[in-house]
Amino acid sequence: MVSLDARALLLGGVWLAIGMLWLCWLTRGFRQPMPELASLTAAQ
Amino acid sequence: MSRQKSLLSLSQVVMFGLAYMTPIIVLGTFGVLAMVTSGAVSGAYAVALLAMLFTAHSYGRMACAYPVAGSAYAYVRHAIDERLGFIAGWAIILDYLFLPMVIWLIGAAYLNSAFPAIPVAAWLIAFIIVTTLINIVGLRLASAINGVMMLIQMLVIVAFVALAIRYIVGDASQPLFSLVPFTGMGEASGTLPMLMAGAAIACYSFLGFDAVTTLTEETRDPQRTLPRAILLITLIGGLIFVVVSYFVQLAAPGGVFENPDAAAYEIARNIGGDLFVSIFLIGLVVGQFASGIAAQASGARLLYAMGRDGLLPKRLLGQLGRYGTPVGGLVLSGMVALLALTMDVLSAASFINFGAFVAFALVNIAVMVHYYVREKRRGLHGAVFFLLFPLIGLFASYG
Repeated sequence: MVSLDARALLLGGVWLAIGMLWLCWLTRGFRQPMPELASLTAAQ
Repeated sequence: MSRQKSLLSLSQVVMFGLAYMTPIIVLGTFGVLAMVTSGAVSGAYAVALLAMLFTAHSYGRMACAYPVAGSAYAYVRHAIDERLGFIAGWAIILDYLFLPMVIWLIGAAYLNSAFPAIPVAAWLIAFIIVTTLINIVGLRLASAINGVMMLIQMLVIVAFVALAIRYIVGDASQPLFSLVPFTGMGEASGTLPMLMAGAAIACYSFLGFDAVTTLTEETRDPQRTLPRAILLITLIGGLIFVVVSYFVQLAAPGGVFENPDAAAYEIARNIGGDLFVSIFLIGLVVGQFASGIAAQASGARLLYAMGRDGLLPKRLLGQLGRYGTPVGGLVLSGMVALLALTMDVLSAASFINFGAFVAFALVNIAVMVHYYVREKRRGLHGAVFFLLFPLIGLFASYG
């Protein structure tokens, strides 16, 4: 990963940061459990 | 899903994965990789293959532990933590949004080389609109057509390699066996950082093994079949990449091309003449177009699944359109692809790799947590497969 060019690392980092913020909003500041992605995680 | 549906066998899953990898892309992105590695494209693919084998092994172990369709998201969620799982899924979204973009960008660069009067932007917008419409209407290419497309791709690759060999043999000063395609030329040749930089770009070509884990529920005996399929896809796909790039690199040494985004066009003309250039272009565009459709559709399905379950804005992404297709996700990925108007293949591919490495790293950690920590598989066998291998995979994702 660190072999990638600086711009990709920067924008990738921004993407992850947005993900964290969105996660924080989804879980109301990590106090509530997350909605489950039922369709993809249902056992066989 | 209907249980009566005939289940996929090992060879069918492997074929799906290889088709998803679109082997002809090795020719499509040859110039970019040659530029970055100063002519060591085979070396870059060999390093990438070696590194990916460990992550592929980890994917296989997790597919065995959790035979569900959610891929990295589901593995990390079950083995470690649901929030970390979300981050893995979020990183993979980046891949699925940028993969169609790179595919269209490659097609546009080559078509622009063939028809310089029409700018790259025009081809790009045409690809975005046509592919998005096809996916919105939900036109499925029959599997027979997909098979024919795969065959065309393979024939073009074989012809490309054969012509490259003829070209090399025709030049008495050129040996057919040489290490130069693995080490490169010039001052920085053979240095590890340079090969790693190339491998980091090449890695997204291996995303096929992430895609096959979404087939879990349609696969016969998935806990046995998927780990094998994942390793086979990585190995076969990787070897195709190494061998093809070896001969092409020998026929076109070094990494300096007039237009790196479409270098194989130039090479095809040198080794095969004008007629072959046209054949190559048809093969590349056919393969690239089909894989663009598949990549955009699977990305939109992921966005839809996450939207429906409330992980992403439900009203925008969690609903199906009139034709029963995830219109919101398709339109979003089409709009994101417009960013390609200001990008080249190299930077777009770098974003995919960033997302892939984050997800790969988390899946490797998931293997250690699930098997080594939680199930206490700590004998010699456990230490090798559930600690050492994932650690190598993790380290390779980081490097």
